[in-house]
Amino acid sequence: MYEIPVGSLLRQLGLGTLETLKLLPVCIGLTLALGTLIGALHTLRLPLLNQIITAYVFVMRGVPPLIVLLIVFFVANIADAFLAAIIGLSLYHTAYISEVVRGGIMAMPRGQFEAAHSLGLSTFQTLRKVIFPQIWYQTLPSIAGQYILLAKDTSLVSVVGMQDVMRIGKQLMQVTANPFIVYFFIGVFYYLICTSLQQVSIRVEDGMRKRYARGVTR
Amino acid sequence: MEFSWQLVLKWGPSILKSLTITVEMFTLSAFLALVVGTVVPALMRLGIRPLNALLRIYISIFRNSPLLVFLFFLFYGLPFFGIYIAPFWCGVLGITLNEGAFLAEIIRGAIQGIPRGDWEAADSLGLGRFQVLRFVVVPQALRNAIPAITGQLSIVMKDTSLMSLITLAELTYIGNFIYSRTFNITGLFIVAMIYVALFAVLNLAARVLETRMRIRR
Amino acid sequence: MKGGVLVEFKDVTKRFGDLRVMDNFNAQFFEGETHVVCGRSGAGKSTMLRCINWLEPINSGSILFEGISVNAKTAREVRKRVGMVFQHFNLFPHLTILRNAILGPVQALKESPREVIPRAKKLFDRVGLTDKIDAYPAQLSGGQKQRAAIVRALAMNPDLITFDEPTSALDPEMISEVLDVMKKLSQEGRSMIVVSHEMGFAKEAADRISFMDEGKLVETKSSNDFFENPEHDGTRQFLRQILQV
Repeated sequence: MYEIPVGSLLRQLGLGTLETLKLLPVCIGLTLALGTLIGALHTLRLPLLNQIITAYVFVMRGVPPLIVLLIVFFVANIADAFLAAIIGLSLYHTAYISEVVRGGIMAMPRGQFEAAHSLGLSTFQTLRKVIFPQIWYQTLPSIAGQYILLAKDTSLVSVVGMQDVMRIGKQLMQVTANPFIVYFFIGVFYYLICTSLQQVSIRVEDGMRKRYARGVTR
Repeated sequence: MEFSWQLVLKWGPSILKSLTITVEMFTLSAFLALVVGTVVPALMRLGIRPLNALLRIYISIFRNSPLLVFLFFLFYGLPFFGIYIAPFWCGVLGITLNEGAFLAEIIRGAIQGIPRGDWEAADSLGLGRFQVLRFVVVPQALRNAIPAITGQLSIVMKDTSLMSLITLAELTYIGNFIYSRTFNITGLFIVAMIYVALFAVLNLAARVLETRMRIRR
Repeated sequence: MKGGVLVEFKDVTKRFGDLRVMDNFNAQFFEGETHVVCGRSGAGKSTMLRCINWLEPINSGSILFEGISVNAKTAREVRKRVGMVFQHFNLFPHLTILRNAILGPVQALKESPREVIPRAKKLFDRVGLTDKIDAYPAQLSGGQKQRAAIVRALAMNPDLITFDEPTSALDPEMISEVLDVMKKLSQEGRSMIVVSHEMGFAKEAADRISFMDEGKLVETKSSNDFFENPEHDGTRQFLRQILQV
């Protein structure tokens, strides 16, 4: 057992956290874009596409994210761990985001669609200009909740080979024989990320409420 | 990289053994997590302030940190202090505390949703606070929360896959193992399908339970 | 005046924030009497009733029930002897009405189910719900629900039963079935305090009637006197409005 000074310990762990922090924005952006697209497509009820999406969502709801990561890693034979992590996590969480978006769209009163169509707007324009601006407020808590889960799932990426904080933490713990400091730090790291996401969600919710409270008509 | 039925036959027995471990862990952890999730909000209703603060901290910590961190600490960290816990029990402990916190929030919300009139009627009969919770409030809260609870239980099922990372030979472990021996993803694929099947069963049970236990006012 | 003093309010004040719901309230309720309390909405009638069994705490003054001061410590004991019937029934929806009725005696009074169940069944007989005892509240009509709620209160063998606007949430055609039960109880000589607008019931069954306004007890008279010689303007006005309907 070596005695590693706390500063150096934290610095090494810090490098690991950077890897995790690089993952998050990419995954969030990807899942948001794809999830919105798929969610919207799901509401169109096109014959074959509908079944495919339903099956996809059902499978992702049943399969553990760890399995998804492993299959992506092995099947795709992806050399780059970072890429594997992104594909795996995004594949999994996009399904959930798509369900939230689909729920939001279906919660809209039919009158909104009818009014938009009667004005001559296409489906795409309707969604973009009329529906989405209204459902952001409703769906935000669920979406933020999903991203808190995503943040926690980033703790799994060492299985695809990433040198993230969990892998480094395990190595350091062997060396320093002090699991308390190591895992306390890691725990705090994730805790801060999750609570920050929660704060962001609350802040955005308040902002939206002020903007839309007066103007929304049903 | 092809699907091979031979592999399925060869590894079938091991997969089944791992399946039983997964199901055992799920059943035990789900039950214990439910106990925690019911007891904690009930305790919080007794109005003892230091206890409430402690419980709120517990809930916050476990809802906002990954289960894996806690598992690694239990399995890899504790041995440094001479405490050795078998991976199965690390899993049960971890899931119980982690998902227990989520269930506690769900059930707490359900308890708050019980109309004040029920509390008052129970109070007016001379029932003590614990009795009111036990006979009037919690039975209703649990039934009202069944959809949310079963949703959380399917997360418990997925949590069991994390035990593969602390050397427990459950489903995910065996899938991974088969790959490492054969470089064929058949094993993982079968495991994935088993998980989906387990989820389907859980889903069905949830729907049946929901309709049968629904409380109408 | 029938028996001794059962409930006594002495200079009771109850505030909700800045609003004084009961203002130096004084009153006496006697054993064996059927006492109806009426008044406008917001006069404090329901609050007064809920203070007796400490569902609402009071800010100053004192309430005596059977000589015991009613406070947070004695609340549970008092509640075992005071039955309450609520405007919105408040039956426990997850229990059959039989189980609703025996929950109190078994858990609070520590009686054995073997004793309680026959007693409860007899009570259900007397209110006309014999074939409904295994039904759940959601399966009953409003009138049936309220009768079941009355049985739940009676099963505790209370010394006093309080009724908080028991028929206000009922459809008109079901009001009489509940009032009939209440009239029977009154004839048996039970101590009852009833907050209600049903002046027909008051005329027939009440021993004394009180009028409350703005948190104060304005006037209390025996039933006939109340209708024939109301003293205060407020009472007269109220009677005029109510009896128009």
